[in-house]
Formats: sequence, structure tokens, C-alpha cells
Amino acid sequence: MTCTHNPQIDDVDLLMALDGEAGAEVKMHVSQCPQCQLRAAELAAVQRLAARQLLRAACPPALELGEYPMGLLSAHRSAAIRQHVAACPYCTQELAQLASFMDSPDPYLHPAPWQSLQRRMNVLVARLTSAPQQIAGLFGTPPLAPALAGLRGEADATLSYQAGDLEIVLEVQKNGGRPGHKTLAGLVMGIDGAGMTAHLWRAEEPVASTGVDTLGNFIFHDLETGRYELILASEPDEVHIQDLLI
Amino acid sequence: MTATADLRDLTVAGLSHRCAQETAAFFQRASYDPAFCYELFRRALLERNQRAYDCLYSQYQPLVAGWVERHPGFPSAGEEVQYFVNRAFEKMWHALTPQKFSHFADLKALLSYLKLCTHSVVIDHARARQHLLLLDEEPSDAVLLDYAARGDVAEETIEQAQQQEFWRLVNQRLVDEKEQTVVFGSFVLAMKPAELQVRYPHLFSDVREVYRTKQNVLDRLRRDPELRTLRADTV
Repeated sequence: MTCTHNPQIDDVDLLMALDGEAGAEVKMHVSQCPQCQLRAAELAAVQRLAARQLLRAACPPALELGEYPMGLLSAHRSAAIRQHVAACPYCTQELAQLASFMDSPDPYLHPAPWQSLQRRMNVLVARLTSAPQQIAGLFGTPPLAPALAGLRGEADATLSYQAGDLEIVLEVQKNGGRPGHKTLAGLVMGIDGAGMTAHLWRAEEPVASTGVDTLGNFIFHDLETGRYELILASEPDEVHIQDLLI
Repeated sequence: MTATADLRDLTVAGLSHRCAQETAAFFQRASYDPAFCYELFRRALLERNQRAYDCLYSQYQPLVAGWVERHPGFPSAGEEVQYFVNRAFEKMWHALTPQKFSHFADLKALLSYLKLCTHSVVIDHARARQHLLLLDEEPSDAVLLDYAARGDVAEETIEQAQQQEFWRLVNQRLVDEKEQTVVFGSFVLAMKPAELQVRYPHLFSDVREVYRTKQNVLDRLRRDPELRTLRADTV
């Protein structure tokens, strides 16, 4: 469709008219010329399509832009991004925002002096020294007998573990109250149990925690059958008993 | 007890327990040992251990949520905190490949990267919103919800790659500095021709020259068969 009105105008005039940059004569022409209105609509659609496809198309992804100041990019990519940022106000602004965000007070990343104190935990994985046995009354050996005497039920199995100087004896017992559930009774030897805590985990989730008494005894009731991990903690020392079948 | 087990002998549960204890010690102003949390990250990211990843998520979800809430782009994002938390972890999981892991020597470096991922997901969202606003397309709730629901990090990466490929093809078809300046300024940066003329007076003597260049380029690109095909695939 060709414009038949005079004076004739071209696509440059129409692009200017779309932006409100055209002179009064062109504006008047467009307002009265259906052909030019149609052509202007076509140009507007093409511009919109180009903008939709290209807006910030040269910008690096936000994560890559953030990796640039952290020094995580190759020299080649760093140079390309440096060059882009020099010309792109959006990325310049995002980098400034990132710097402010990363520098904002954060106890994890900017610890206060007291938070910088690091220590070294001693973690041992206990070694099984005796396979499950049908032994009842292992805890009856003096002088430890009194501690568990009132708690002990019928033993399913007894396991012994060694971790450094410690010896740990575990007894899996039937749970009198709930069928299908068990009780785990334990005895830690070679250390004063006071201040020690026993933690029981199952499938990467904590199940229960309990204190270890001064004689080294602890007990967990009502446990579903399955595989557990027992952790005996007395900071800065810790013993892990893995793959414990209850 | 004197000897210490190799961290790699510990189970994910054992590490997770220790990581939680050490984090608690950190916030109780007690001395702490960051090695266990670092080992959890190592298993999750280097060994791609899903259980370790789940434990990290549980451990650091509150931290990331705090970062999201304090990000300057969050109040105007119109999204829930949890949405950004999930995307930040997802982004780290995809971005921090085993090859890249060697750059991260300690827990602080890993947490800094997680914070960067948090920033980048908020910025991704802001960019999508900005895209709509700069194109004068009313960002209705439905459109924004559509953006929010637009798949995962992998899908987003494909979209970015398509857009960059389109830009590369367009760039190849620009014949001189004038055309490059007009297309980059007008469509990539959403600048007005008058702004371009002011910024680049050595290229354009008046604003009409900017429009003339723009018209020539649009006319040529519109007729380009390869670009037409690509547009049809991506629009």
C-alpha cells in the first residue's frame, strides 16, 4: 500500500512520528493518511519484535556477571564482560547492587572477632569389635550393673565398639510397651560420661538425643526398627557409630 | 581420644549432625570447626550426593531466606521468599560443577557463592520484570506468574542462549559502527534515538541520521531468511 497524500513521507518520518519526534507537518499527514497509519503500525510491530528479542541480549547472565568480580571467570570471559559493562548501564547498576549486597553485614561472611575462633573437633568412627550376639546381662558386670539394672529388658543383640580409648557396648532390646519397636541401651567405658550426649540419627534426620550419665549409661526407648547412626558427643570429642541395625 | 577420623569416613548424617552443632557454636559465640559443613558441600557438589544436598538445604535454608529478605530487589519482586530460596539452591547446584569446585577452598568461599546465587535469582526476576516494563507491556499478575513459573534454571539458560544467539546473528549482519551503535543502543539498551545522537555526536550529525540508520537496518533484518526462521522458533 503506497501513500498517495502529498507531501509524501518515508519510513524515517514514520519512525520519528512513532517516537513523537516528527515535525507538525508529518504528524498532520499521518493523522489523515490511512496508508501511513498502517505502515507506522507495521514499523512499530517490527521494532517491538526486535526489542523483545534483543533487549539485554548482550548482557551476561546475572550469575556470570557476579562471577566476574569474584575472579571465577577465564581471562577471555573477564575481558568480554569488562568491555560489555563499560557500555551497559544495566550491568553497571547490577554490579554496584551486587557489591553493596555482598558487603552488607553478614555474620557468616564477615564474622566478628569472637566468631573467628576456630577449633578442631576430634571425630572418631567407632569400629565394631564384636558382632551381634544373643547375650543377656552383659551390663551385669560390676561395677556398672546398678546403672542399667532398672532399665534393662530382654536383649535381642549386643554389640561392642572401639573408638580410640573408648569402648562402647550397645544392647538392642525388645520394647515391652509397643510391638515392633525396640529399646537401645548403651554403656560408654573409658571416659567420665558426665557432659556427654548421645544423638540418634536415621536417614539423615535427627531422631532423638539423651544425656549419658556419670557411669556412662544411656538409653533410647520406642525406636522403630531400621538403620541408625549413633553419635556420642563430649566436645571437643565425638564418636560416630555408623550403620547400626536396630 | 586423640586421633581424628578422616572426614570422608563420616556418613552424611554424621556430617550433618556436626555441621549443625558447629553452626550453633558459631552463633553462640563459641569457637567452631567449619570443616564438617565444608565436607557436606563437597559431597553435595563434587560427588553430586543428593542426600548431602538435602542436608545442606535444611542447614542453610534460614540463612538464604535472610539474604533474600535483605536483598534490595526483594521488596518489589512480588514473590515469596521461599521461591527465591529454592531457586538459589537450584542455581548453585547447576552452576557449581565439580570442575569449578576447586576454586572454593573453604566454607566462607562457598557461602559467598551461595549468596551470589541468591543475588542472581533476585536479579533474574527483576530482569524479567524490567523486560516487560521497558517494552511497555503491562506486567499483569498473570504475566508475572507466568514468568515465575517458567521452569527451572536449565530452561532459563536455554532461553538466554537463544537470545544471545539471536543477538550474535543480528550483529553479524551489521555493516558498520553506526549500525552497531544504533541496534545496540535502540534494542539492546532501549535508548531513544535522541539519546544516541547526544551520546555519539561523532557518528550522527543529527537525530534524523540515527533514524535513517535504524530504518535501513530494520528493513534489512526483516528480510533476512535466517533471522525470520529463528524468530519464528523463539517468539
